[in-house]
Amino acid sequence: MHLGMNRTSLVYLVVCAMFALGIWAILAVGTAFLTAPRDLAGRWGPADAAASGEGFSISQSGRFVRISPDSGGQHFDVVLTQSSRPAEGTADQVLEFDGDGWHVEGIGSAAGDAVKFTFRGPAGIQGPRSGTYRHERMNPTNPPPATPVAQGAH
Amino acid sequence: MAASRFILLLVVQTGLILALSRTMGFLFIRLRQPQVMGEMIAGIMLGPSLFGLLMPGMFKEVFPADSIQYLNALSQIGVIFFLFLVGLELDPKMLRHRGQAAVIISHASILTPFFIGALLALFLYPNLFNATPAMRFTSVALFLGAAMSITAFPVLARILTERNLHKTPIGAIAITCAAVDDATAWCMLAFVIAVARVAGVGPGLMTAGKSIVYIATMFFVVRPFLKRLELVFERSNHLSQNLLAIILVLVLASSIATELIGIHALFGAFLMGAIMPKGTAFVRTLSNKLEDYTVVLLLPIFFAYTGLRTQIGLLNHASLWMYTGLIILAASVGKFGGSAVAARFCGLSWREAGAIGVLMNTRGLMELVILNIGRDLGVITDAVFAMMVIMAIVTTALTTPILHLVYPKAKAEGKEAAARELAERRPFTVLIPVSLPASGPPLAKMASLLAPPPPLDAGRRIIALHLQRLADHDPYSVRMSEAPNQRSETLEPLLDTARALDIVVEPIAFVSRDVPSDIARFARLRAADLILMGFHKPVFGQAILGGTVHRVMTASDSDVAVFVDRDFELARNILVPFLGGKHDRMALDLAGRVARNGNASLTVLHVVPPHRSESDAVLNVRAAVDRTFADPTQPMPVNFQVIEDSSPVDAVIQTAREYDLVVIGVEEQWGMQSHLFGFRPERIAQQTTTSLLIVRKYAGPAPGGSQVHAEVVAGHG
Repeated sequence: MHLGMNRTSLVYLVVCAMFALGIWAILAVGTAFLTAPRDLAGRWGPADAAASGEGFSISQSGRFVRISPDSGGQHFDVVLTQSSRPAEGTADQVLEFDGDGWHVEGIGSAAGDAVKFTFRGPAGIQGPRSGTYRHERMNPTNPPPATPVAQGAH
Repeated sequence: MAASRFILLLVVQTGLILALSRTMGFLFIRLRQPQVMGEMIAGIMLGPSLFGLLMPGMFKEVFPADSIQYLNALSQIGVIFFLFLVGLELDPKMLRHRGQAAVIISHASILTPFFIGALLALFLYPNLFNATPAMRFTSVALFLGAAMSITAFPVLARILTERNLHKTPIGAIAITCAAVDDATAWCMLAFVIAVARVAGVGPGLMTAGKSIVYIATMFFVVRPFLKRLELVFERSNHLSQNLLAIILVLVLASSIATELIGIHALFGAFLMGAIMPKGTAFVRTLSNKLEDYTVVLLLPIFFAYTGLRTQIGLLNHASLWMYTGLIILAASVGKFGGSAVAARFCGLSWREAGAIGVLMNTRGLMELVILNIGRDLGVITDAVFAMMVIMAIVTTALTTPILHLVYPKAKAEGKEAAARELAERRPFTVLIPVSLPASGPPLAKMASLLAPPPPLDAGRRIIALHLQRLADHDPYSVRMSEAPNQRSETLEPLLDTARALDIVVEPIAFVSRDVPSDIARFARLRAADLILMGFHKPVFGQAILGGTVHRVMTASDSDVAVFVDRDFELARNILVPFLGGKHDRMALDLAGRVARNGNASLTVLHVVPPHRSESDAVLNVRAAVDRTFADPTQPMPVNFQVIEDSSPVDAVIQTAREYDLVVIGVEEQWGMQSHLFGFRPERIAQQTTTSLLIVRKYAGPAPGGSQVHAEVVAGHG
């Protein structure tokens, strides 16, 4: 095959084609098989009598979650250890977190904003009360709008 | 919060940011790191990772959450103009004569880390990302790929200039690749941003269509208009404020256009810079006008803003540090491996290919710009942002030391030096470092007296060296075509004098980050016998032998002479205070050269304590002087004068009045030893009105201080 291109150009084109194919494969596999942990980041306000009082905030990077009580108490870091798919016949999802001596369990609809949290912490440390909380997203512009926005640099 | 309090707060914040940024930049230059590294670290230090951790109360006072938006606004304006400057620096001419190598290496250095970044997303996505619409796998994978593939063109240019590699084939390839990388990466990023912002094929095609119209407008409408503006500039040879304002408005308009299209404001600023006419006085003037405020004032605010969002404290789990290590490893392997293998494929040696790979792994400031975009888009989480910031800092910080290992300076310079020394016989070589134009002519005169005159001209070599301090340059962008050269305006007066004296001088000029060290290094490289320096009154204190002079004296392997010019015209009568130490003997030797070449009379002054003028020590000194001038082919009348005085310094000051030139060694007895801070009184230098040549003999590789004392044979030893 001689199409006016030398060996270097041919290698270059092959590498570019392999790159494009590789990226396509990665995107296809990732989109089809991978899910990120449920988005919990934001403020959670009490939604039932059991949780009455103050809420808490969650700062989250995937499985790594920092819970900061609104009361100003010490924040604690937990890691998502289990995230079940909704059981058959129910829409509820079970989330389990452990870390800093805490065990946190959350049960709630995968699509909804309300989750029933159970907090079990180290003796003598006051954490948020167990109960149902409603998710109030921390940053309303995150995710960004689906259409381009007219704003400043960011 | 009241508006007046916000203004006060903003002023305090800006002052703090500026002070810490410059201080850290200075410290990092001392650590042989790019200044930008120090400024990036300063930003992190001001954030919750250090300031907020150590002094949480004060941190909240100085950087309350509701004030951050103002810093953000300022920092974004800064980054817009910085990206415009980066675009301005890109010159398509750089691609010429580089052949396929630069294109192949640069594309390999983008595609490989991009692929590895996307591959890494498969592992990181289920662990470090949240299930939000902004963090779709496609957006995350493409963003990680783009973030891994960036190379900081300005920082790379800086590192190459600092190591004087920019004129070498390696440097030329690296800088070309980085320029191509930058342009390609910003285009890719625009694509990634569009993917992250729009959902569905329809809006995506709409964004693509608008982008094409925008780029076409820039090239076919705006670019010709810019050439008209250049003509306006050329007509008056002056960048008027109106002209500057028009260009700034165009930059901002371009940014607004790309933001509205959905491919980010920074791309508009970058493209505006990229399409400006290149290599002209117009662009240089524009760049000079914008650089200082952007780089000194606005970019440090951007670093601080980045630091305020960087929470290294979030990385509080061993596995998070493992992910950080993995990100650093993937970024480095992708960038280094891709570039190095491609460079080897293009025919470079493994060592050269390794050097290219190391250089291309520099991410610096450009990475921070991209990460902030990702954070604003919601594509990355706080922890990933912190990890990537650490990756940017680590990869940038490692560039210089690893480059030093992979491609030591000796490799770059050794061949040149060896070839030169083999090619010519070793002549008496005088190196004249010149920092100010006015210093040159007297040094040229003195050099012509120190080196043998014609017909022995072939036996001497005089090199004039001007080192421009790097701090005087913009630390982010260096116009490569202008940086180092064989000519410098600073050297012109010296060269004019040399021509008048009919002596040949080789001029050299380059940029230096550590002037004394580079003078010593250059003297070693050129095997200089003597470094002949001028003297400028220090900002603090009165000392001649402090600061830079001290550092050159202690760092160099050559003899050093400092010429204190006090309207020196001709050397008719030369005085050499002499006690017999090695520096004195060096002074005697140089004084003999000056006397022979200038047909001057030479007096050797030996000072002894009262009633010691008849001692054996004096006879020994006399014999040493006679031996120095014993060459029968060059007879030299020497007047040997012995004075009894309890203070040798006072005796010299008293006697020097009758002479045109005093040549003196840096012996302790003369009170002339060099000190870094130069607080010692140098009475001979300060109280004589005669021109001085202060001489220091190289002590040899071993510590030589005690040896100097042992060699003193006269009564004041």
